[in-house]
Amino acid sequence: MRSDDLARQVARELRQLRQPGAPPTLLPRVMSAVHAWAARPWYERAWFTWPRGIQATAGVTLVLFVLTVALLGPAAFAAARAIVASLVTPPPRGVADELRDLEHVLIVVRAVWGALVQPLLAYAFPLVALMSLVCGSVAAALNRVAFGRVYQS
Amino acid sequence: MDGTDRFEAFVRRYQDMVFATAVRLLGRSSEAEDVAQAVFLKAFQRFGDIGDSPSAAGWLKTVTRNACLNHLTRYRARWRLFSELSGPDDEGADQAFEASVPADTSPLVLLEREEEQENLEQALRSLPDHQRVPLVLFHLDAMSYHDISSVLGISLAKVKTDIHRGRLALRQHLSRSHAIR
Repeated sequence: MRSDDLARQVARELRQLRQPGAPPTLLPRVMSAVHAWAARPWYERAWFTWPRGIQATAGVTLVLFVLTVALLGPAAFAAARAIVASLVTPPPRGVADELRDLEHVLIVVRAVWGALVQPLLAYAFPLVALMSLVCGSVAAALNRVAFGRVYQS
Repeated sequence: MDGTDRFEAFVRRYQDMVFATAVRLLGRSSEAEDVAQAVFLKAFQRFGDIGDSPSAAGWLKTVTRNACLNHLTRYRARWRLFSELSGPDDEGADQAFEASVPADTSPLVLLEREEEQENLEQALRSLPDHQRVPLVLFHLDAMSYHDISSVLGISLAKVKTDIHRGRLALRQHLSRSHAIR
């Protein structure tokens, strides 16, 4: 038998197959799983299933947290360092040298931060936020327009 | 009718389709039931969006197919190994397939078309994974060779070879059934 004939014969036979029915146990299993899932508190579920208000609140909180760390981080670090310095006794000579080296490294890091990173931060953060918003909007639109196109997740 | 009742009606409507897709890809009822349950749970989480959507069936079919392929991917190393170790005639797989096809003991039973279909269904499920999955995707899900190749992450040539071997194995079953009839 030629390959094409074989393909046609198998295709014909498979097309005539009836769809196998779901076992009677499936529906109770699904409903039981659904009830168990619905009984879980929102914070134990995936983020996209949280109530809309809580989703928004979580998003805003995350943004505020990142902003706070970015803006107040260096000042908080300096304050903590001053407090620690006032509390501890002067270290032994060897340790003092190590600390001085560390301080030099910190000075360099701070200089690089102040000269290169911090000036761009004011532009970078809104840009990243804007890009995230655009990506989110496009994803939501795609999900709505091409509804069934869920690729192997 | 509240949300849960609506969802129950939704499950009743689509459960056969979801289960059929899963059992033909996976070949095992118990695993197909597990996958179907996971798919419907996912559908419940998005029920606000898909509940009344005309594309719900397509969404369920796609999610089920992907869930099954993910399920198989967990065993993909073993799956590929068996697939690639098979000889040119795929003798070992065919022998395993032959052994797993339900015995055609009674000619009277084979006269019934319904039972013949049941046998074919069982034969399809008994094919080795590397033959059954591309065969089902091609013939029952109407996917192209190219799409199957990219979804399964195997070469186009291998997809064609596996589908051909699957057809040969099914034909052996069909010709034997017809001969007995």
